[in-house]
Amino acid sequence: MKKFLTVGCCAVLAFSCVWGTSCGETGGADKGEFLGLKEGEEFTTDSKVSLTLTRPTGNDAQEKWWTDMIAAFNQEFSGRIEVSCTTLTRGNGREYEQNVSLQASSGTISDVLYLDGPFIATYANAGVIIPIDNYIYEGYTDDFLPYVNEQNTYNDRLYALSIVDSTVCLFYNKQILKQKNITVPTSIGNAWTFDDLKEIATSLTSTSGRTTCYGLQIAGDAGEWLSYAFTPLWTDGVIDSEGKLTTGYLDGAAGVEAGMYLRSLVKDKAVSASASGKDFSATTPLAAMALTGTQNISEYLALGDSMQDWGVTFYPADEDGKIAAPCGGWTLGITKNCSTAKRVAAAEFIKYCTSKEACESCARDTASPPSRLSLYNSMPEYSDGTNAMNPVYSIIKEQLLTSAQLRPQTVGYEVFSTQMSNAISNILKGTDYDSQTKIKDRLTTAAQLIDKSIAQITIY
Amino acid sequence: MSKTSLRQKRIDRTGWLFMLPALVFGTVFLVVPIIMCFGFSFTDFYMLRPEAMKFTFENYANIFHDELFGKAITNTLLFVVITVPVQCAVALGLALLANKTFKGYGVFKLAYFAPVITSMTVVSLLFEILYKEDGGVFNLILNSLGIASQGFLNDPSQAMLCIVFMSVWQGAGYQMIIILAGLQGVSKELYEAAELDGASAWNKFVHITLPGIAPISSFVLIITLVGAFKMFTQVQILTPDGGVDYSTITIVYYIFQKDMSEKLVGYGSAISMLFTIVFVLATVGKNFAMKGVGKYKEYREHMIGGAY
Repeated sequence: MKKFLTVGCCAVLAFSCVWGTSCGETGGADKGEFLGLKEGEEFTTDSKVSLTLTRPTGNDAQEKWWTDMIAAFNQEFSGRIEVSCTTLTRGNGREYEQNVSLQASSGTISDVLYLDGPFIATYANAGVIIPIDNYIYEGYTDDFLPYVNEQNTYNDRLYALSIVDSTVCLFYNKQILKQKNITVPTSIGNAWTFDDLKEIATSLTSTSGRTTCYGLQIAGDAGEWLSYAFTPLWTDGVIDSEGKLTTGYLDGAAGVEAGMYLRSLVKDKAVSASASGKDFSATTPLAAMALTGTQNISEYLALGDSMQDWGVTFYPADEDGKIAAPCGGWTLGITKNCSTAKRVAAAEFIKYCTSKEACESCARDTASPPSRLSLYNSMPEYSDGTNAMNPVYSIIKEQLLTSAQLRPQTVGYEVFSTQMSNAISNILKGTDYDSQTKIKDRLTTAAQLIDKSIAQITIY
Repeated sequence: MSKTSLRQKRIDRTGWLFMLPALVFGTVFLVVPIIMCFGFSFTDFYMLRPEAMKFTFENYANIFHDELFGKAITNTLLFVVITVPVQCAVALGLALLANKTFKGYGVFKLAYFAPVITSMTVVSLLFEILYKEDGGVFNLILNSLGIASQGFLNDPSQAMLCIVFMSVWQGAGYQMIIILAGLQGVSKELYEAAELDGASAWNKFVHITLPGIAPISSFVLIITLVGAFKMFTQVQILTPDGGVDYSTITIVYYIFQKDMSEKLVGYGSAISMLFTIVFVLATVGKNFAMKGVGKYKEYREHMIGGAY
């Protein structure tokens, strides 16, 4: 027993020492200390700087954009900076974030990281990414949408810059709605409420033989989707202002009401509990409408003629007619692994990828809303009636510029979004979720698990 | 030095060389991770901030207040308690059938072994379609028989049983092949002698077949037990949210969630260590029970022998 205890204690001590020394602290500079290049200043160096970038594997359009962008950057900065890129699988759950975390843990994370906006608090709090405001000259962020800048800021420090954004809209099949004489809202002032949506979706559900075409599809990926899409239903908020406590919010009165509403969608057969995220985009649609993200536009466009018949309308409003549309996109940040000598170069790369021209080409090529405000006025897709995509993009523009609501900023975003999505999924799918008490209990369980995990992360 | 001892030394060296790959891989991928896990279990290791790791006993204290850990343990034990005997019994039944030579014997063996060579991920994806509440194959069959649709994976009282059914279907073929090998090793003369003595089929099964395959059954029991305790893929694919009301959350799935989703590696390691202890105790218990059965048999045979 003594031997066992001695070996155990030695093992603990050895690991503490080895780990403690192998992972050195490499935080960012203090706020206000400018270390970057001024506007128009050229990057110069005695020897070429090599940078690494990690990003998730995207669709064909995204892959092509990144390949072209990195090639163009390497050519423009030839002999001074060279960027090499590693792609990791995005996955249906949290595979990308899990791999990035493992790299952060083992000290092998790349110099520049492409990360989803809501994770900024998590990575910044843990010191995985460093503030970049020391390297970005004053006024550079002025053109970005205000909420995009807010998303990229943690504890009053700017940690990342965005290229494009995303939001959740209501996509619909024009033919099916026309058959039922349903006209969709064309201005944000007369957007459907959640109750309108349920009523219309219920009326659209039809069965032919063994196949049922549901009025609405709300399914998405397993990790975050349900919490991203439905957080605005929690009209009293889902978490406290410090991003640490969900009990009383997630399972508060508004939360229970939101849960009851979601359950009623299944009960009234407006949605299918076992739907797939592909139901709306199937060649023979299994859903007349889909509440889904703008990231799917390129997928719908790629389907060709069969899906030319779809349109977009606004995210539903609450009963007071107020819309709080989910938003937020992927961002570029500098990691702690990027040595001080390379940080100016890394900032130059991020600025290159988030320049007005780069944001415009990415928005156009990947069918995503741009992160820069000026592009909504200059891009033909958003500004005039000459582009085929105008009817779709004008809705997205109006929604984002007037009603965007960021996802919660919390150090425990992964556990928050996973547990909230699991709770919503249970409420939608569970066979015995028809009582208010059951829904309340499930939300309370989720809230307790989230709070406990955030407390552990905060203490750690 | 004598010629014999030189040869002995060479044989020893050859033996060690043969063992070397297993020793290296075993050390790198088994011994070292277990020691690391033990070490981490006494720290507050947060995956995103490894440099801030500190020594703590809190992980072990917190586990006993963790309701989800209790749920995961209960679900795992439930899965083990149902799957192990059912899977072994099904495997034995199939092996007994396969041991008889009849027309289509090869096809029969292939049919029951095919799921084993199919990845659990593929099998799980297949059963996801079969179990679908709305338009799933099983519900369509039930509906055609006039039975109402079932919740299956969406019903907390059915979800784990659905996973048990799928796991037994997928895994029984493997155990069948092993037991079949054992059955074919049982001496035919024993059956002939029993027949001459007028023994019934049941008596032959109990007194010849079962003792004949006892050593191999012990091995089958162990591998089924290990497999059942480690159940993860099925839950991850069929119920990625851990099931309605966490009805399918298992201990390995929970460890994965703690380590990879919440990044609480220290806490996840503490759960892993406790799980290892539970697992070792279960194995020791099984060995103890098997020894007990053996001793009882010896005693019974001795008593019967004495009576005559």
